[in-house]
Amino acid sequence: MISVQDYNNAVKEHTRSIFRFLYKSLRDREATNDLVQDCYLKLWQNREKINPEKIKPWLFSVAHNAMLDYLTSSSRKVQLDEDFQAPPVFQKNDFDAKAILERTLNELPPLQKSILLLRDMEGYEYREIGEILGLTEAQVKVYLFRARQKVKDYIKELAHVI
Amino acid sequence: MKPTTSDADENSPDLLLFRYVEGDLDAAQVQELEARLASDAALRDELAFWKESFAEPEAYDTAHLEKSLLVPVEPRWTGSYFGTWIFILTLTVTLFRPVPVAMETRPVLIPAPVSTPAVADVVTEARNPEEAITRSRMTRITLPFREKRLPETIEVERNVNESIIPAPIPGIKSRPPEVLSPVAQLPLTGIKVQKVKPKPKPIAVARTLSRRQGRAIMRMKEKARQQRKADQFLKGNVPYVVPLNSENF
Amino acid sequence: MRTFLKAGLVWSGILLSFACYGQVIPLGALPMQYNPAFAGEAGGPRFNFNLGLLTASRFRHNEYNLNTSYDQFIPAIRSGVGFSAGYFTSSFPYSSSSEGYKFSVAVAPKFSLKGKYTISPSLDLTYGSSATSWNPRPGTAKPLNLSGYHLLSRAAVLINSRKWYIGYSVDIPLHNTYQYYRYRLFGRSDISPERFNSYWQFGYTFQRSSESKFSFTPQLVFLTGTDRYNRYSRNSFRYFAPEAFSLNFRYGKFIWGANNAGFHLGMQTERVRVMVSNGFGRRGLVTSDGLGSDAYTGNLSFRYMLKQSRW
Repeated sequence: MISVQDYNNAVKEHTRSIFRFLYKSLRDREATNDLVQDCYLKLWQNREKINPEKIKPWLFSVAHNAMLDYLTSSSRKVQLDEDFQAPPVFQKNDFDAKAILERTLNELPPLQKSILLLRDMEGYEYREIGEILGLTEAQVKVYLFRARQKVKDYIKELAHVI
Repeated sequence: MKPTTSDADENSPDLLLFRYVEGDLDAAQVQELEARLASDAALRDELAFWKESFAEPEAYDTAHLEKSLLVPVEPRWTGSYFGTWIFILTLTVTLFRPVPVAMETRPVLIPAPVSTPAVADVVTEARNPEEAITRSRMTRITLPFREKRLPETIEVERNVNESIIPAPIPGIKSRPPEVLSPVAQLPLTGIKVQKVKPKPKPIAVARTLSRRQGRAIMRMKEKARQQRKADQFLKGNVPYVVPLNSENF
Repeated sequence: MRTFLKAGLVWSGILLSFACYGQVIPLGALPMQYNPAFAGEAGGPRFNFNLGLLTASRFRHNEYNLNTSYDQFIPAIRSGVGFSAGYFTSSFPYSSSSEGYKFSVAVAPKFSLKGKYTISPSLDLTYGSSATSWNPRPGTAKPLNLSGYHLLSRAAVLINSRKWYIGYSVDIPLHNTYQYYRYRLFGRSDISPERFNSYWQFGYTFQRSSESKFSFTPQLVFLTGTDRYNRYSRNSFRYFAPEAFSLNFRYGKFIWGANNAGFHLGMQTERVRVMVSNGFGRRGLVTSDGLGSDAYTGNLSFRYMLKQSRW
């Protein structure tokens, strides 16, 4: 059972993380806002059943599923055009390594991407990621290995041409 | 289809580096890998790529979103009552406090040290003597200008601001060139010709030299050749620089 | 007959070079490659050209480079001057491509010692630009286009006689947006804030006399300096490693041997030299760099002396 105070604290403490997690996957600010609101709506609706100490993993779990549903329902791949079509920084001969990583992250399957983001951005352990996404610790490790390997291979390929 | 750890070869460099960047290796494995890294440039490059596979956290402004998500909470009046009383008390104290005498502070330069010790800075057992001394070296006095006379006591504050030449070749005698004199070149008809005994050829001398001596002679000849070229250079007959031999380089 | 022989050799060289590919430039093919003090060192005007190609079938990767240089000694200022220009292009089909140019100018005053040796300090300035288009998954997004340029200066000194030389050269990176980008992205680059590069270069000719037909000339370039493994490393390390080499045999007009780009074979006259190097991988015999054992390199080098020095 979570109180109104617990809920509001969760809004203040976790909204930024949930938004970042979803936005990194969707690259669409409007859709991300909608999904974050859905997540908190579900939190409020299920407040009787949720352990106050596990609000954050619960929110990430809901966010991941919402993101999968969104991608399935919209049946589209994430478009990067809005943010990544030859940004002015490149034209000024100043480079942004983040743009490269964004691009490689975008090529990952949603589950691998979620694992990578939960690990790198939120610092979760394998076991915690497994609890959030419904996987075993070993599966999380293998998925994370594959995700990093793909990102590494993309960057390596780029390194060979420049 | 869920993957298992057996999908990846436990001994592959990729998995090893992955576990290294994830911090999953034990101390002995880390030590072993770092020893390999020190000597293997390709592995170091590979590690650098692995390290680039980490996503970096970014900050986004979500203040507006948070505001829209917060659930309004009913006011807690007990706290507000206490705050109201504090407010009234503060207001009362502010409105009815006694009006103090207006003081004006003007800087006045006084040559230090002040000859007359300030009344307030008399060194007593109760006060720190150092503090009293420093306070006595003051340059500013506060005067109550409402009264146009000097005060009986002075309040003093502390001023804080204070040619190589070729050697002869051994074993070889130089022989003049065999140039026939004009007389010798005349037709020999009717003239008694005295037969000249031919001199021994230098080849006979060379036969007596060892291979080592032969090489020494060759080096000396080369040295002499180079010296001649150097002499030519000094006379300005060749380019300013000594170029590398373009046949070999 | 001799004309046919020359034409045949040149043509075979061109075909062989295209057939077996190459990217590393053989030592000596571009005299000022490691040390700008070689400008004017031939005495007379000299033109050099090198075409290199590389392929790695595992990645369907191809690279080409084309470099030329011209240098000559100008007696009026007692200095050698040299100009170089280079172009490279590289591609991974369907995903990325890259190309770049570079131009450099070098000045090398010459001082003679006893008419037997030359000592030559030198300075050069290089401008280069590179551009890359990259898209690992075509069709899903627009390609990412990156471009950058660099300014590099080098200070060098060379001491030589007719049959040997010792050279030392130091890189002075002035500005390098492209390498800086590489550094930020990969934690390593050829020119990074933590890296100090310098080159030692040696050469000596073994020849019985300057008029002998046969000679053997080993040459070696060492890269030395300090670096870090990458930007995550706390400690820097010193390195001293062979960068390029050449073991050249000559008999009359024929040359053969091995160099950092592979085995070489060529022919030369007083003015012209044509040489083909047949390599084994991206970095030749010195190192390898992960493009796989099926990567091949090849080079065609050409030299023309416009006027023979009178030495």
